[in-house]
Amino acid sequence: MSPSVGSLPPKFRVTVDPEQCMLCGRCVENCAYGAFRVDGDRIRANSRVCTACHRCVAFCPREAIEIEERPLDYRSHPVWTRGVREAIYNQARTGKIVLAGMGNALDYPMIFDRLVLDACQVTNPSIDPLREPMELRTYLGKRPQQLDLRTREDGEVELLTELARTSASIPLS
Amino acid sequence: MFTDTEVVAYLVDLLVRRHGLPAELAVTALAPPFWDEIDAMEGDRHLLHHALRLTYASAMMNGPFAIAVADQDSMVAFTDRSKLRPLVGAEAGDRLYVSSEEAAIRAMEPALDRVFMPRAGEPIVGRCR
Repeated sequence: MSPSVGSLPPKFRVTVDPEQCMLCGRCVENCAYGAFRVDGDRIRANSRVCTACHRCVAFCPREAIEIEERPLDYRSHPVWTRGVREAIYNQARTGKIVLAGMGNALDYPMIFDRLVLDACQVTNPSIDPLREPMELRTYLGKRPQQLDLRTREDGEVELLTELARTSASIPLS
Repeated sequence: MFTDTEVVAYLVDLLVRRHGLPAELAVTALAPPFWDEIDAMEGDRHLLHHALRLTYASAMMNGPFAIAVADQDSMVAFTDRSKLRPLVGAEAGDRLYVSSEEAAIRAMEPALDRVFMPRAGEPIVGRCR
């Protein structure tokens, strides 16, 4: 996890104020990136590995640690911008396409946020599985044009039309 | 055809007048039970509902609706089988009312004998004696 010196300019500058520091070593113990080490009677920080997670700041009992963003200028170029260069550096360093979670941090317009969703009632909405059960069943073969029914004396309706055997139906659900 | 109403009118005409289905079964063809429910039925009832849904598959109406259809001596009202639209029925003496809400019925007839709400797909049927 420690990049070789000179691979990428550090993004943050970590300083420990020796006047405030009481050498408790909590920062050394708690930094997941190993940014701190004890050097005689003081703590030294390797800014290059810092990701500004602020765990050291949270643990420091004397508020001796400061983390500052330290943007370093690149030679300006319309194509080879900071983002492009750093992406290439990261890919070269890791040998992988750089993937990040939590969306895109680039300054693209948020089109979705500007859409007005007018959830009005439509006459025939597409079938919505949240509101209506989805059914799909397919029958092969000929269907009757109409049913021949007879109402019996007890009021029950009797089906006279003979249908093809239904055991071959395949429910798709 | 230009409107849903027109479609329903033609369907009812086809099912009831030309194919001779009783009103209750015509309604079943338009708003049939779900296949799972049909599968759970037994005997003649299963065969009848299976045949109805199979034969009149294209008469099944999609989406939410509440429909009232009437002729000279009968009236039937029903909703889609999920009851996404309201339907309420009421009786006062020998009069039958159907509406999407009770307030509309009360406006015409404040003193009702009975107010009821049918289950999804279940029709309210009224006939003149």
